[in-house]
Amino acid sequence: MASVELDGIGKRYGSLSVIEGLNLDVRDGELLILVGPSGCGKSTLLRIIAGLESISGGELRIGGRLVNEMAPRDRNIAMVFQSYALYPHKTVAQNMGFSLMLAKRPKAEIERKVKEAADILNLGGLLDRYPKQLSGGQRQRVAMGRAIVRDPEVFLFDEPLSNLDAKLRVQMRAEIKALHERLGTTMIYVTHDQVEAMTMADRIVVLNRGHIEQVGAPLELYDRPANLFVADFIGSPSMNLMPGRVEDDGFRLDGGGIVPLPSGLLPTGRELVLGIRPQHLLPAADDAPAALPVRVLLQEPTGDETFVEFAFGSDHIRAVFRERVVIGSGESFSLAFDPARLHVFDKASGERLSANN
Amino acid sequence: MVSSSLLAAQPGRRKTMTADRILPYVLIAPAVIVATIIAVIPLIYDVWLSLQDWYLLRQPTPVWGGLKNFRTLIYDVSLWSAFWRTWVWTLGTVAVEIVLALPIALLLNRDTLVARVASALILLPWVMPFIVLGYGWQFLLDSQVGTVHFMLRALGIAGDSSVLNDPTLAFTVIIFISGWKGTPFLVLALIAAMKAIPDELYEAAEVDGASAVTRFMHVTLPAIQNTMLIIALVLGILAFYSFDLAWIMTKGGPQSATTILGIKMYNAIFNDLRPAYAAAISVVMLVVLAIASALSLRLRRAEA
Repeated sequence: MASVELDGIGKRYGSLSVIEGLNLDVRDGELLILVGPSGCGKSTLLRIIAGLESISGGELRIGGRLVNEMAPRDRNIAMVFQSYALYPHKTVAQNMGFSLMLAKRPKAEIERKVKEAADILNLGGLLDRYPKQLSGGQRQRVAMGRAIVRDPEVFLFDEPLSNLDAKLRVQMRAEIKALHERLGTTMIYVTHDQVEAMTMADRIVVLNRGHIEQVGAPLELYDRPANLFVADFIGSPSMNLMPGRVEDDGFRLDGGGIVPLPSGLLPTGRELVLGIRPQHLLPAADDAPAALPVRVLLQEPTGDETFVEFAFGSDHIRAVFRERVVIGSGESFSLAFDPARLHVFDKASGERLSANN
Repeated sequence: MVSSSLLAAQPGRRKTMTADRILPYVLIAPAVIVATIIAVIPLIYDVWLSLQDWYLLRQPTPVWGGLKNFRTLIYDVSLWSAFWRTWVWTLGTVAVEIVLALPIALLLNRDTLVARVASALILLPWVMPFIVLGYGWQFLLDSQVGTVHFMLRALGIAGDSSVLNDPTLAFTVIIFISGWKGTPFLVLALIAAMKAIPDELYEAAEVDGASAVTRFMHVTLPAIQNTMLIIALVLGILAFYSFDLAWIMTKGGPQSATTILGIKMYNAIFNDLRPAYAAAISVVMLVVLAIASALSLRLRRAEA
């Protein structure tokens, strides 16, 4: 078990800087998830921690030791790769015991540790099989077993579930979380799937173009996104973000619509972006005062929810209703919302305005 | 409605069915005809010829001799020494090919301009005919003007005369040249096999604590050994029935130090004027090669 400290980490490829001055403390024993769109540098960051990429600047410490120049094998980490990277010509047991074999541990110890890991992961009957004889989920478990056997201070996961089908992904998600609770080892996990991030993480790091947008617990990110990027990235479908300004009669959107707001809630005249999650919009009662007059564009019923896209001025607003609503395309509709659920961001900086909520 | 339309379609269908049945044969016919002309007919003729008694000085046409040639062959001491020499030649050639090709392939298995250009250049020995290479090397090994000869002399390997005049050295050097020519083919095959190994395997091995040598032994080698075996088998077969290089460079000499089966066969026809006996030698070579190939392929399959 160990903490991981990134202190001003930078990564350049020639003149191209992909990560610059990044600071992050991964606490001992936590499951930290790095999430962000493709190309945001999350995998690079993980590979830097693993030692598979060199560091162009800053300091990296694992368990208090400076490891900048240390080879991957000396960092006491284990990594689970997206493609699992199982050795195709070795059996499951040989795959899992490979690192111990290289460390010249006694045969009995290797066998015992492999068996322990296999028991944890339900791989008992598969130890003599070759990777090609296993299903995707089993290979994924072998890859984790290979990591567990090493008894590392830090586990690194690089999008380990993205090659699995949806059902298996849900199952493995729960298994990894259970594994973390059982082992209590520090885990750093990279994914582009925000559902994985939200459901598994102790803390989430949202990365964008090589820098950190926000670090926090999953619900903290959902409830109080620090900026427009996080607001847009976390949550599905993503938050409605509407630029405009506060005027006497409410919040006037650039698209033409007016959102009625209690007066004095926001500073007048400033360029702002108003955000509200699709889940927080409701069909308004007929006499509701603070309602948005909108027009229905598109409906997508999924059975337990209904996605509806509305036109509001020239803006598009998405809403998700739990109840089944029957409305025709092009019809007028009225949307209600709780002002306390509004998110307000400064348009220029994209930062959250913390005044009201 | 359906059945009546089916019935109505019957005559037409029969015609299409016949056409469908013939079409595949028409399509494979060219390949079969060519293969028959260049492989099957000569093979049958070869086997037939090996069963004749035909000494050109005595009779102008072959007469039936049964297994006479094969009986002679069993007691032909010089043929047997050529036979064993050919094995040394074959295994030596393949060994040189592997020893040269493996490090070269490892060096060239990277995506740089130098590596790409070098991979193309390295093909040169492979695409050059033996006649050119043979005379080229003869020149390089010449005791008067050969650069390689001077280097070998400086190293104390060659004396004042060319290595080609020394039975053991000549055989060794020609085996080396034979392997050197086959190397590019193996290099290309190995590079292709290495390119198919995912980078993540090397990274996983690195994290697992493998050194460069261990990574080679546990990741690279297992991934390329099949390709290596198949290509080595092909190159081995090529070496086993080769004739030109040894003939061009030393004509099978000095003494009979470089007389491999190919040369033995040539001599049987053109010096001894016994084509039927040469055919018998080639039939034996064919059987040996068939057994060797089948064995090594089965061995490979049993291992996998």
